[in-house]
Amino acid sequence: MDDLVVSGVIALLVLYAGIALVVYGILRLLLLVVEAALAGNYLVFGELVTFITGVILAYIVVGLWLRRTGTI
Amino acid sequence: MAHVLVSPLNWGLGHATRDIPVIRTLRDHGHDVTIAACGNALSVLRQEFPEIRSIEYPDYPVPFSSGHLFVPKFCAAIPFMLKAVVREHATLEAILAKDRYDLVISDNRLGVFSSEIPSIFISHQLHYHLPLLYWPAELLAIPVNQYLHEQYNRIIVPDNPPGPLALAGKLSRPQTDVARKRVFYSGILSGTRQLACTRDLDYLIVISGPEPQRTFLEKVILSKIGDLDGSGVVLLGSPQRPKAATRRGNWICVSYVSTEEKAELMNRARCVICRSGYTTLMELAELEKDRALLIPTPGQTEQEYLSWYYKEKGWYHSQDQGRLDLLDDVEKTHKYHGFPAMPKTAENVHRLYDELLAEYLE
Repeated sequence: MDDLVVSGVIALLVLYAGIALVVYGILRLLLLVVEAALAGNYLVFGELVTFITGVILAYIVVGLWLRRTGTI
Repeated sequence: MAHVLVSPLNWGLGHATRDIPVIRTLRDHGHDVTIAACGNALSVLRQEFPEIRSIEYPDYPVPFSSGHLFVPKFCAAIPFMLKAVVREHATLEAILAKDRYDLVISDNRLGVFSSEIPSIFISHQLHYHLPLLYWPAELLAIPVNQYLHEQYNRIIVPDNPPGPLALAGKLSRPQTDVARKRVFYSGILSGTRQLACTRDLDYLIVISGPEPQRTFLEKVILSKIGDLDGSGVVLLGSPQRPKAATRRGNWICVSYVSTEEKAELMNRARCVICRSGYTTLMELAELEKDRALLIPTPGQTEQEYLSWYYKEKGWYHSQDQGRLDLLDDVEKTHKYHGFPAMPKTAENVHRLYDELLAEYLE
């Protein structure tokens, strides 16, 4: 049971740290998008929006692939 | 004669009721059983087996959300659940120290295992299903599950082996070698038995689930039952109200009934309208119901998956609570044919004892 507690706490810390990191990354990225739009830098704005769209699409494709292969 | 501790989780009555045939077969083979549970699960088992010793053994509250925020709320509840599991395990060690036990059977209670005494886990979920958006969490759950499964000697899955008869679909599919080595597919285990009675009831509607979803479904159902031809009974799943039945045309509404009364009504019904909880689905299989309308509790990913899966298989029609059109959806139930023929509880529990439990008890 002690193993469960130690590994459980470590896994939780990693999970929550991961969630915090992802949320922080999303917020920073959104901030950059807003800044680029306000500064009228539409090239950077377009690149960022394309990048975000690509990441979202890749995320969904990986999820679908994992479902299709029976991994999840 | 061996002594077995049986401990079901008290998240609804499903875990307790599916353990009834297991406890019964242990008793039939002359073994001593002690039930360790809490709440309604304990009440049901005490009522079913008044002669058996029972222990009040608290578990942890359901982290279900009332809406579509199940996953975030569940993640936030993990530390509290981990703490509760540790406490649960410490309590178990105290229970085991007071008496001699030969086997521990845990129905989905994660802290109920012993390093000294053979321990068996009952679960139909070797794998968790989450919405696609949360696939990393589903992936992370695999090693977590593996770690938990390692604590048990065997895992009883109350389902048919993976294949065309698997009622739990991907949920009961082992994904790690740890699970594969330990799993035993018992087939369906249901406390509800087939009765020799006529199917004289057109509909049985069972309203259940956590609030406020239960009330929401009640409002939708009661406003629409007048549209349906025929007679029926609505079980409101609300034990705090007076038990007296009220009549609405050809319909009778009852706030709650005992498990025996519910079993009888299920036997009599031609069409059952209910949530898609796994134990209820095993009851439909046990009673060979060919018509049912499943309404998953919003936010309960397991129920949502099973409803989708059965619709895909052509077994039962299902509809989201928010989109329910009772007349139209009941009509659609005719297009589905129910579960295929499969071994029933009596046969399954016999095989379970001979092929698995006897090894630890005789």
